[in-house]
This record gives sequence, C-alpha cells and structure tokens, in this order.
Amino acid sequence: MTKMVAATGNEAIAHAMRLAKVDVCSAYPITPATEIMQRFTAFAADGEVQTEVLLAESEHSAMSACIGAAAAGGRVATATSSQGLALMWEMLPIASGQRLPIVMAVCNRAISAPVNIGCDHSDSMGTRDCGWIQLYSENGQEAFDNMLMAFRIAEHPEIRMPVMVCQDGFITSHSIANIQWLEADAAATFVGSYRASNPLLDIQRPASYGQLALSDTYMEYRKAHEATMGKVPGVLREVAAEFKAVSGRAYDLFESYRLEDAEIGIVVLNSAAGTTKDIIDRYRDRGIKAGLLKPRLYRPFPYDEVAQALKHLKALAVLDRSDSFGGSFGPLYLDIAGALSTCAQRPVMINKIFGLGGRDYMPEQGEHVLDELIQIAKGAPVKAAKEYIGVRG
Amino acid sequence: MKTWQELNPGAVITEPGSSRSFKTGSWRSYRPTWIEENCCQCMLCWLYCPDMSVKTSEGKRGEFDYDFCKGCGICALECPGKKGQKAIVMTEGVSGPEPDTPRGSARGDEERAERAGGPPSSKKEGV
Repeated sequence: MTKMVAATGNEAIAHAMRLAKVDVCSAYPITPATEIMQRFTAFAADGEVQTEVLLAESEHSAMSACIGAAAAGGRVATATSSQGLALMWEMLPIASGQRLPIVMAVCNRAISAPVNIGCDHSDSMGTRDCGWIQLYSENGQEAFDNMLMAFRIAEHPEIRMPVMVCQDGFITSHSIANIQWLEADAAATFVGSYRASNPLLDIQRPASYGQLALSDTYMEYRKAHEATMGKVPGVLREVAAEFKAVSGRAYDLFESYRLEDAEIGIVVLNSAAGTTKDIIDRYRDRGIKAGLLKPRLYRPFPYDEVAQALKHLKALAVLDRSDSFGGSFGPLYLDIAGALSTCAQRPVMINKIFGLGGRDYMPEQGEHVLDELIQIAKGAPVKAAKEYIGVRG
Repeated sequence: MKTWQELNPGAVITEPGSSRSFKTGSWRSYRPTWIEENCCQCMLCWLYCPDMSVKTSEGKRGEFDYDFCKGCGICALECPGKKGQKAIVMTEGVSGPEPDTPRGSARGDEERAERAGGPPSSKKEGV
C-alpha cells in the first residue's frame, strides 16, 4: 500500500533522490530550490542515504563536480534555479556532450534583472538547447514521479543523457499538497542499479573525457547527439509503462485533456495547466468544446505526436511563462508552431505571455483567452498574434 | 573517417595514448633548432617543454620531435647554452631551419623571436 503524505514539491524531489540512492550530489543553495538540498543533506546526515554530498562554492562548480562524479561512474543528482542555472550554463552542454546521465531538479524562477524570486520559465527555457532532456511537472506528485523516472531515462543504455526535471518555483516547490510516495523497495526495484559506460574509476579500462573534436568530427558528434535525442520519446514511454505498473499512475509524452473532440485549445506548461483544466471544465459545462495540451517532455520536443494531437483544432492559444524578446514569440509557441507547420490543416494560433516573475495566473485570464479563441474559431480576425496578459497598461 | 553512427558516445577515448596519432607540429610558425656543440645537457628544455617534444636517449638530450613541437620557444628562452651561445635557436617558418621570408615588420613577431633567443632580422643567425 503506497503512502499518501502532505509534502511540498521540494520535499517530493528530495525524497525521490533518496529513493534513487544517489551516489554523489553536489549543489549550491538558491531560492526556491534550496529546500531540496536542505532536505536531502538531512537524509545524508541522518544516514538514510549513502550519498557523497559536495557543497560547492558556486553553481558552476556544483555542475562541474556533478560532471566529474558522473564521469567517474556514479549516479549523480543536483538541484538549482534561476541565476544558479544561468551560472551552470557553460557546463550544461559539457554534461550532455559527454553523455553523462546527471539528473537535475529545477525550480522554475524568473531571471534577473530586476531581481525576482517568483516563478516563470525563463531559466529552463534559456537552457533548452543545451542538449539536456527536459521534463516539466504540473504539481508535486508529477515532480516526484518525473524525478524517479528521470534516472531511468537518463541512465538508459540507449540514451545516457542528463535530464532536467522542472517544477514551478514556489507555486509547486513550496506548496504543500497530497503526494503518494513509492515504497522504498518498489522504488529501488524500479530505479534499479546503474553501471556507467566508461567510468573513470575503472582503472583496468582507462578512459579519457573532454576531448577535442575539430571541424572534421564535431558535426558528427552533434548528429549523433540529435539522433540519440530522437530515441528519448520511445524510452520515456517504456519507462512510463513500468512506472505505471508499480505506482498506478500513467504518464506520456504530454497530457491531452478533453482534446479529442475539441475545437479550441490551450497549450501550457506546469502548474498553470491545473488552473486551465478547471476553466476548460466550466466551458465544457456550457457546451463549448475546449481542450488542453500540457507538454511533459519538452526536450526533445515530440513534434509529430503534438501535431497529431492539435491539428484538428480551429483555434489554439499557446501560453508562455517566458518570452523570447525582440518581436519573436514565446519559446513554447515556437515549438508548437513548428510542430504544426507541416500539417495542411491546422488551427489559427495566438501566443500569450503570462505569469512572469511570479505574477499569478488567474482563472479570468484563461477565460479571456478561451473567449478570444471562440471568436477566432468563428472566423474573427486575430487582433494580436502575441500579447502579454495580466499586465498593467 | 568515422560516420556519426560509429563514434564513441560522448567523445570518450578508451584507447590510451591516442594523442600520439594527432600530430600537431603543423601549428608551428617558429622552428627550434638544436645546436649540439652548445648544449650542456642541463635538460631544462626537456623539463620546460609544455608538450613532450624534446626527445631523450640514455639520459642525454636528443633531437626535437617535430611531429608535436608547436614552436612556442620556451626551450630556447630557458636554454643557458655554453659561453653565451644558445644551444636552441628559433627560426621563423614551419619546416626548415632556414628562416622564411620575414612576415612584414610585425613587432610582435620580432619580439617573440628575440625573447626566444632566435635571430631577429637585425641579428646574425645563431647568436
């Protein structure tokens, strides 16, 4: 019988790291991810995990230590947020380029300046092309489940890539909600043991990491990286099927909510999807065919599957909790537009930028978006392809 | 050349010493020449070489390994020589001990050559 507890998203992540029996964990505190390491180092101090905890002098060093530990052959995890993730940036493509299956929890938080500790997705979106796998989580339960599955995906022999598990800072990371734990034995069986491909500590088989690859081979490595990422959706589905068997909870590349017969739809990541589902239920009660798609696997982005799920809509709004400045669209919108670009029939699309820097996403905002989509579906012209919502002036 | 399907994941090298097959001598724009009669066998060149381009044999200094020498000139700078005569001189050019046509009057090049004990255009070779 699995245990139901009241826990924050950060506690859930820390427990997932405990259950995964991480060998090495190097981190540097940053709001709102600090609590993850606070909880996890307590597990280490209390002897509940046999983890080597390295407290680094910066996030750049923390990720560097994770890379070294993963190259040595350990199961490695860390956590960060916002500026901390930004400071790690230089090391992120090194982790992925060296195919090191590090698992990192990210509490999504706005990027300075101005200084802000509230939720938005600017931090992880700024790292979306670093070659990492990115999973997004609607709530603490999904953060817990994603974190456990992340080890399996990262360490899969066909993949061997680092994974970021993103949850909304404060909204999810600090909110207490009901979460179902996995029993320690079941979790240990599910996550399993890990054997690195070329561990530096295997002195019988010397290996060297961090090689030079000039114009004659670099591009082949990039193509190999891209091809490996192409295998992630299949592996994710295999892992999700096994996870369902032990937990009873089903996951896929993304969540489709009342989308099959929908005429209008919203695409949104993380916690705002929960609010949006309530709004959609209310519109459905009024006979309006609205639906939602909540991406879970954001990198690699499952373009074909997303296009198949959305192409029948008449009008679609993509809600981005970050922006790509300079007159472009939000990053999520760009991916959805790219996914639908090969479909002969596709919805009219609009992009809304919402909830930056911890600004609340209120039900009225989602209702306004759906009202606008109803008009567009009837043939009304699009007033603004991209628009900030919930902003003064 | 290997295709992308044949590469070792993560560019990890599992064959020790493979840098031997990656010859970097062509990066050189100055070439050191060893003048044996001026050599006191102090081995400072061997010690200071950032690569492993000073070959040795039975505890004695040998020829340069031009497959890997990048011409940095540190050996020539450190060389004490004998009686004011350097045992290592740097000459401009990749392959031969004869100096190539000077590359304009770029002061940086001359200074570098001078620092390394090589013959700048105003001095005689070997000084």
